[in-house]
Amino acid sequence: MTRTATLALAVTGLCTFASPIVAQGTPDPLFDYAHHVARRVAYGPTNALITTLTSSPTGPDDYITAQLSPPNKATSTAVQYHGGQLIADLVNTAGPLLPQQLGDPVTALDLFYAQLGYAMFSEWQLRELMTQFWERHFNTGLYTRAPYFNQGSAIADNNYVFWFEWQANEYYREHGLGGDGTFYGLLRYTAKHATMMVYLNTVYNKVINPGDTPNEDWARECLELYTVSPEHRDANGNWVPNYSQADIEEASRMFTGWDLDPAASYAFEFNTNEHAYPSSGQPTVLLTDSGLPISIAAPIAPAGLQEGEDLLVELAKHPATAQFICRKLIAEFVNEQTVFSPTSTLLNDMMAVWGTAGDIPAVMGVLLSSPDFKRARTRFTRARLPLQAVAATARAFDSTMEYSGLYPVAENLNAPYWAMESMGHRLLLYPAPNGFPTSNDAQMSPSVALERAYYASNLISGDFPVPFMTDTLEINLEQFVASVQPQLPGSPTMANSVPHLLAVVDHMLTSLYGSNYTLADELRVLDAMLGVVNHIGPTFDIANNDDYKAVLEGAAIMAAGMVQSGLR
Amino acid sequence: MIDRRDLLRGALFGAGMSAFPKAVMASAARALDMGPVNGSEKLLFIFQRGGNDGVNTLIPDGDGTYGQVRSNELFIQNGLSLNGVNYSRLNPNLDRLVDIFNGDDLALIHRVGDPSMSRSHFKAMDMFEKAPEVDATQSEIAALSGFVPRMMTEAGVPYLGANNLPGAVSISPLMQAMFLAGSSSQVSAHVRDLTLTFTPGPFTDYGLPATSVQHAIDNAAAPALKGQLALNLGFGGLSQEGLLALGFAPGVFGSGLFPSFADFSAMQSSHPWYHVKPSTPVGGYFMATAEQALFTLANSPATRVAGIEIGGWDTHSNQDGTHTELLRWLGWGLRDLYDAIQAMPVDPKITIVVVTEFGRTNFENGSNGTDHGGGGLAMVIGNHVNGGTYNCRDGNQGTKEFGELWPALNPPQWTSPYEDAVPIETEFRDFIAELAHKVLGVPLTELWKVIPGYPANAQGFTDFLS
Repeated sequence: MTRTATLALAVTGLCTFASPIVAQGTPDPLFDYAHHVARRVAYGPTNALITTLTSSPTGPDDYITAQLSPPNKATSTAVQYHGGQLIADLVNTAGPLLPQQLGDPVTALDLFYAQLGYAMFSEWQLRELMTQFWERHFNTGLYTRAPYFNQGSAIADNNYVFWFEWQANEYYREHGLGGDGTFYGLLRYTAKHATMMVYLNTVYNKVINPGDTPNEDWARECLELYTVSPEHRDANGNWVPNYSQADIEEASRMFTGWDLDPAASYAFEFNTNEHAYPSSGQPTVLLTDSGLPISIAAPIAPAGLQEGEDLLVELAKHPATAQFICRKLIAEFVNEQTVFSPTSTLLNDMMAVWGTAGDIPAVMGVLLSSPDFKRARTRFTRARLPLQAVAATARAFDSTMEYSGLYPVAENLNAPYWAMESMGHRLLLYPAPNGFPTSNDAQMSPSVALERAYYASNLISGDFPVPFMTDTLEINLEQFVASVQPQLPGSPTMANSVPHLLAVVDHMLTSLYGSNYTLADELRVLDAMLGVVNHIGPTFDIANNDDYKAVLEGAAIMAAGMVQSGLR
Repeated sequence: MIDRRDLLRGALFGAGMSAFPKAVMASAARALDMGPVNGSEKLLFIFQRGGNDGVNTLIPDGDGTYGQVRSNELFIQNGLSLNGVNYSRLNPNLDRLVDIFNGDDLALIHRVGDPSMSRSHFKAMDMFEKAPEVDATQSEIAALSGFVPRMMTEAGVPYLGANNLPGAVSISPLMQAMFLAGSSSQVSAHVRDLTLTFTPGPFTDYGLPATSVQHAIDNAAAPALKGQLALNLGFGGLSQEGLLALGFAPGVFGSGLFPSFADFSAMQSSHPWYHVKPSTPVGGYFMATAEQALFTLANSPATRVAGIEIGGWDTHSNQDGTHTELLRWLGWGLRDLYDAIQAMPVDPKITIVVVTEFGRTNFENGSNGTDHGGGGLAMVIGNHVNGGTYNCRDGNQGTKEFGELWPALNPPQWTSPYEDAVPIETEFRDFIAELAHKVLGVPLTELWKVIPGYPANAQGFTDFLS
């Protein structure tokens, strides 16, 4: 069949079977809001999730409320905590994927697979988004510091590195929204955990001999990246600096003597003889530039630990910290334009519930119930980060993992892993302390857009260019379109199959993008179907299941490679 | 007389090439048939991320206080002498650069940086990569585009030139900030390290056109995204010659017309300038991207600016080993680039610029490292360079010593070692202005469009370029 003839049939189909193909753009507020929630509060829609969210008028808001209260690890079953049998199996405590204690063999791939698995399959989707938010916020490229752990032990450096990265990751998962749920808790854990203490040189911050000066690395980034940030915006809209170089030097001094004990599995310890005690008994005043100074009482030896501890408490409750974290959350969950929008009260509303320790679920509750979050013009204004992009495509096609015996085949996650790698993001291993960039600009380079299209191609076809990628997520496209009406006729020909194929086009685009597609999008997917037909040539027969499946794959690749796949 | 094309042909098709598939040779030949560059001047930026310790790179040997501040592991006593230079010595791990310096093709400019002396990595990098107003707040800077798209606009360089090749390309895991277009339509290309690129085999197996991604452009939600994505059309519409010139060719479309990943590895090692193959990830990555950048600039007439990066310079602790290794890779890479350029019969007119966000504190800290602070060291290599050292001399001026006098690293008036950091003499904005004007030809009167608020004169130039 020639391309022209088939296109003619397609046009005939458009005219005759108008129902499915003109679904695009049809206003349906509940459906559109459900898709928005699935893109922002989850790693993208699945057909099951959209069905749930649209089952009642309050479905999306009910989902948000439930997501704000993930299960407590101590009082839940593994399936409840992890968010489903599949993800529980993937990271099963008895399974082979993840380490259970320091020294267990573990690789970077194991950690990547776990992050991808949680993002794609856990029911606790908002918790996973928050886990990655805190991972980026408290980013550690510990891989660069592996030699620190090489202290004569038989255990390989990288087993230490990946164990501590996993331990911190699990902490952010457990306490970054549920559990303790405070910013102070996350900050204190991070400040005293091996990942950060080695990564930003806290372990080398010692003043022992006359003339020794503190190592500024951790204190500087703690103020700049993790708490108050360089500037806050005052009530008049003016930017005000928060700290000076002198503040960094004093903060560095307060953290001297903070160390790890290799003999105790690198648990935190304080060495008073490495601490630089203040020369006077007067309190140390910091952040004077901000207009909201904090005062830290002078410690008396050997209680020097307390001034660093007190500093963390004061930083966590400082208004500049609350503003900075809330700004980042708004940019992440709404968009960058809303942060200081003169018509929005969202930032102030979130800061009002911050409290003294940073009440994360309260802050997120305000954000996700705000008009700024819900409004239509917020939708599709954020570029997906690589993890969000690869997870969303897999979720839209209802991907599943193969099982081998008791456990899912983790290598199924190779395609998304390599796609993320190609988009420049190695989870947990981003080298700089400011974390993987999240701005729209940073996500939308030409090569990243190409990689998204390639990923769609690899994922859907299950065909990989390198030998070791033999496993892939299972996507059953025939099952995916089985409920599409009208169905493929019993004795299909190209002529009588056109209405079905048009409905397939619509189903694929709707599953991926809700109503955010156009007639031009539909024609492109249709054109991809025709490309397959022409590629196979004169032997093409839609009654042949392989040929039918090839058409579905061509359409799915094109649909998943569109620009919308990069937006949420 | 052998011309450049013949030389490259010889290199590619000479001994050892018989194992290459015909497709490799065919596509290489097509690239070479594009001919030599069109004579336009080009810039290759190499960003040392993390803050290189300039004091231990070009060592102020004549400063009697150097031994006071660097009294332990970070004291370097075997610095290399440079012709015409009395005051300073070059770090011995940069030994491969001495010949270039003595041949007047290398300028070593000390104390380059942001005059606010920001010690934040992120603000200091932005001060270079975005060239904002001097008094811009960090938040205002964050919203700016990189200076490269603005520089290209004022230099009249289109973002897509002949063969749909990009005017500027960032060869890095993520697009470097200096290339970000912001709301501008002047979109740079972004190419990842080839070693991380895999072929999308089935894309073409299904008969889908390689330009499928151009759909991205049609429905971009926001103008800025549309601009960023527009280059997809360029990539999708690129000729195979264009792809190869970008260094992007091997296996990109899995069409069988390009060599496989393994073929590329072999081809890589056969390049005349690829005679050092580092074994470490940082060194290997740097060398691979340096080669790719050179290949792109030398073969793509449209491409005027390329940028690569080498990280790991944030040496807060145990600096000695890290700094030594990084300088070795940098020195080897720069020498390889220089030799390759010299071997080309037609001068590709590439000026290589090495820059970092700031220097380090003068004093070692308590963990054998140095913290953030002060002016950094920039290196510029090329035919237009006024070879010499800058801002690092005393009154006994050598014939290759220029710029301002060096301040003592440990002057008696300081009361605290916290104050230590060498002051800036060549501001980032002046440094960029000189490159934009003298290399890319941006008129003095238009420099303010590249660097907001910049005066229409050359009074701030350091004159490291002729």
